[in-house]
Amino acid sequence: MSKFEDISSCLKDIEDRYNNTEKIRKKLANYNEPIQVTFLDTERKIMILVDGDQGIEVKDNTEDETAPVKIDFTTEKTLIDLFNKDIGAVKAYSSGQIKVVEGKIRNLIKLKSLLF
Amino acid sequence: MGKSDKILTIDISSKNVKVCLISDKLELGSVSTQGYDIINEDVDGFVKKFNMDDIWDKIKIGVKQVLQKDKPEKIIGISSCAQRIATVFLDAQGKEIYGGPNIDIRGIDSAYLIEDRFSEEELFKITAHSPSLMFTLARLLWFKEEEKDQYENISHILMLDDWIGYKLSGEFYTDFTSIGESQLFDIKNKKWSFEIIECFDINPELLPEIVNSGVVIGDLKSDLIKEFGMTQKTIPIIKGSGDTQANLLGMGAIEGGNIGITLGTTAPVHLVMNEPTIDHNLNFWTECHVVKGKWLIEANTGGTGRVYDWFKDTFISDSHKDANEIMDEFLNRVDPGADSTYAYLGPELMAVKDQTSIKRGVFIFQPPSLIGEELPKLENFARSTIEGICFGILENFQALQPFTQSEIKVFCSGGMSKSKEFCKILTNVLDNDLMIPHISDSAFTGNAINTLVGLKLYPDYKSVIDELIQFKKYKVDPSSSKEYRAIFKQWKYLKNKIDDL
Repeated sequence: MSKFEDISSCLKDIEDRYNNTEKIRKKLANYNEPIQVTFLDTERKIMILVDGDQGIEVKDNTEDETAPVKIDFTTEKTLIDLFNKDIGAVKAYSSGQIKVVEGKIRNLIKLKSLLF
Repeated sequence: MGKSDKILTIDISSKNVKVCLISDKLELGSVSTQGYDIINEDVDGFVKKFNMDDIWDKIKIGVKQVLQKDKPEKIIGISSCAQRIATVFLDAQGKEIYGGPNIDIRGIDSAYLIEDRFSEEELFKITAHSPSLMFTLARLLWFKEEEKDQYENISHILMLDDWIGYKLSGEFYTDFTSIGESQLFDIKNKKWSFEIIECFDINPELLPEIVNSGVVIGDLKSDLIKEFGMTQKTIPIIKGSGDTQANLLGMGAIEGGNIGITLGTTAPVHLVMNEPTIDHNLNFWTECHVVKGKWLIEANTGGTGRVYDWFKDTFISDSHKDANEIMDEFLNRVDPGADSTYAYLGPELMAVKDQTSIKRGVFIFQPPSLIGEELPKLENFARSTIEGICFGILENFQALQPFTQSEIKVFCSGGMSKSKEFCKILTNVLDNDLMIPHISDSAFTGNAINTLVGLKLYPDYKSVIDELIQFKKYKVDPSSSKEYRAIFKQWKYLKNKIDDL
């Protein structure tokens, strides 16, 4: 049975990864750009707000069109598969299942351990 | 010089370990080509490494194969080159802790350490390379973060070509072309960047001595002479270079204003410069050339050879005829523009530092559902694939021209340069005459030239090239070139529309 069965469990895990992993907080110590995640199949939007190493807030069904980092997933299943390790991030990325719509590579690399 | 005197050259490319014997007159002898596997260390595909024992075994097998075949009386010297960004870390006993290929991007997990300490501009001004996740510095910091015990055991930081030199001679040396791709090096001043090295608390004793390419660094180890069945007492090892610089040398691109296009798995386009100009847009990489006082600026077209091989393997591999010949027949049969068929399969203007998404592969063509006399044919897709590659090269070629005031002269080598039809298209797309050296695998020639200069058989690189390389020249057909200018405009117009897919 898969560990992650829906988006909510993935979002919970993002918060847990941040709160329970010092290495991830260290990586994000200088990061504070809001991240908007969009699932194109359901049009569901999520905001991830990282305040350096001070805290994280994940807001489901929320959007901010001005977010400097925007990542699209073709389906909700893509994120679930990534969290269950059924697909690798590089494969999902190169096959177009994940698309970075906006964001600088210098910032995006810091998000890898949090999101993938 | 004896009749069967040969130079032994080794090249670790992105797919193969290649060993070749080549004469002191630059006549190609036997070649051994062996593929190797790259190990994926994580499910995501970021962390990759070589099996270094396997690579070394293949080098030794290759050497034995070519010696057995050609039976040279004497090997006058050995030189090598290897993929440029590939890095090797050794322990105090010289045992490999890590060897990683160009495509190992484990640095994605550690590059934040670099980004937090240096602005993009600061780092680029020193190293002229970006993004940092690709290079030796980020890989070293990855070990510091993720594999502390292994990091503490690192005693030697080498680029892959340096490692070949070490395995053959037992000596630790790097050269400017190789270490210039590490992000530990100050490109403009041609010295270690102690600003970077001290910032990340890297022990300078781990770094090898830097020498010029084309310098004798030692002799082939006696146990290897015995293992290879050689009768000579000593065989000098000459420091080689990064593979691209070897290719540029072997195609004759060594003067300011020369542009060299290496048609391998990717197609880096390099302009030779008389000074180390750094791209203000922080995009194109500046590198050291093998020739003293010359630098290179690189705009990389991306996976051109990969696209060509994919097309052949996917669409024409079942045929009993050679796929390259069929491709040439297709190119011969179809007019430029391929009945308004356009291919967007990756080759394009270099923008690696901003590459946050992978563009979709697209063919645009007349749909077969329309009522018309002409239906889309395989040869149209073949021609559009080749034209798409050439247009990608053109974008990079044009981007580099503002970096020189010298007269442009274009050289080209690599697998696809063997195709007469491809060379004709590229010549007319670039609207520049094209010089093709007599040996298309010019990395071998470059290694051999390094050997001839290192052994002081010639006073400099230019005299070897002038005397020993024969060129085939493709001349521009002005009417064809005019036609391609119009096709390129349409290709670019459509590209701008589909890039966001």
